[in-house]
Amino acid sequence: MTHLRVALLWAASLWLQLVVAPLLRWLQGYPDVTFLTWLAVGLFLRGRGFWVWTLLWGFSTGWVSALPDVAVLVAYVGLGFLLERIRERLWERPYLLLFGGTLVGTMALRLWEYGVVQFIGAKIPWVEALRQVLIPSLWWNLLLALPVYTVVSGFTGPRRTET
Amino acid sequence: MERFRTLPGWMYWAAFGLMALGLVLLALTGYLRPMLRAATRPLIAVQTWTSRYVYSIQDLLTSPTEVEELRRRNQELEAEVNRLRAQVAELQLQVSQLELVAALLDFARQHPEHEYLVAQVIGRDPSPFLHYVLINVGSDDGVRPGMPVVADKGLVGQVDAVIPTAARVRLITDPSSRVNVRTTPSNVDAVLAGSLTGDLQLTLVPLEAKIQPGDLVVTSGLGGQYPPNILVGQVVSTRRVGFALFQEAAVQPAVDFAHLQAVLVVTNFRPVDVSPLIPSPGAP
Repeated sequence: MTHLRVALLWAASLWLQLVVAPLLRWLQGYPDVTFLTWLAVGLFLRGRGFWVWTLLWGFSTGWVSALPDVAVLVAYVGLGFLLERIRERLWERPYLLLFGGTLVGTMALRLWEYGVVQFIGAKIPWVEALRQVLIPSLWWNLLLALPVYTVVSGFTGPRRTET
Repeated sequence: MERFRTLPGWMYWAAFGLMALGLVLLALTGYLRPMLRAATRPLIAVQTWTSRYVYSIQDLLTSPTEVEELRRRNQELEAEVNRLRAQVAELQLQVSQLELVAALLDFARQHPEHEYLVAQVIGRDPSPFLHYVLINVGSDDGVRPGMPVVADKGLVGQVDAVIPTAARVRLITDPSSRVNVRTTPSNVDAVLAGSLTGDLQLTLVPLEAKIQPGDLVVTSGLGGQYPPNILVGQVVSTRRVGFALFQEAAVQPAVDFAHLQAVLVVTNFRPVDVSPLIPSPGAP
């Protein structure tokens, strides 16, 4: 997989996230295309390349978001470690890895965001966050995980690992 | 036969004239019609048969060029239709943009005390917990953090961060947003808070205040974060909870935040930082 293709996927996912994804709002949740694309790329890319792109993904998402940059960067690095751990156990089953990663990753990311938003001053009741954001976002991400994975795998070609 | 030949010439003409007159009279009175019909029917059948085949042969001989011509013409028309469709779409887009700009201009005319910069909304925050939008003007255009942002119907929010070519705006519906407002005509000062769902809530409203559904909510200017008298929304309901010290009111925002496309940045307003004037708990 060339880094140029990953760069194109990164740019496209960021654009989709900023412009298109908020239009697919269900309650207050919408799909996290940047996360899904990162996860799908993470299933193909390993080693140093994976971590470089994880840092870039986290930094860019944090930069456009009103959340503190460091918070989003830390979230992506954490998700990277989480993906590595899941991958060690499920590396032979990419679809299980995809859906498991989407489920765990979305929940972890949204919970982290919730904690950060609470910390910076917004008072959002926990039940409301769960009902309005967490569950709809999870539903959207699980729905779009396979299409995004298909696009990423089609775009990046046959599976290949980089070390 | 000899006798006929010897008849005088005028008699031929007379006989011919009588016959012609007789035929004309028969034709005028309609007596000839069945005979003519019987005589012409086979002629017409023959004519129909021959013309059909003649035209078919003519079509066969000339059709290749006509089909080619029709195909070319069809392509031309299809291209023309596509071009006109694109033109119509472009014009519709321009019309909607003009309507939007006209609405913004109306707002600017109603509030001539401010200077405005038109901006287009180009994105929204990736996190669903936050209500922020990105606009296509930045520090190169004179935009600074803290500048108020309005739309044709009223207050939108405040510039939160700026880069040379873009800016991020915190909407008043954001859960962490607080705006000092005043209701009218009841003239009550309160704080407007955003929420996760985008609903606006009037908080810190004294219990004795008489707020009614339908009251307008405008910025009060207190705190120096927003200029005064910008429409924010309308009170839809009030709520008093048990032993609470304040009452609350739900506010319908004037701006449709779900379909926000263009906004105005108020460039001649500088927010005032009053935090140094607020005494800290430990200060004498």
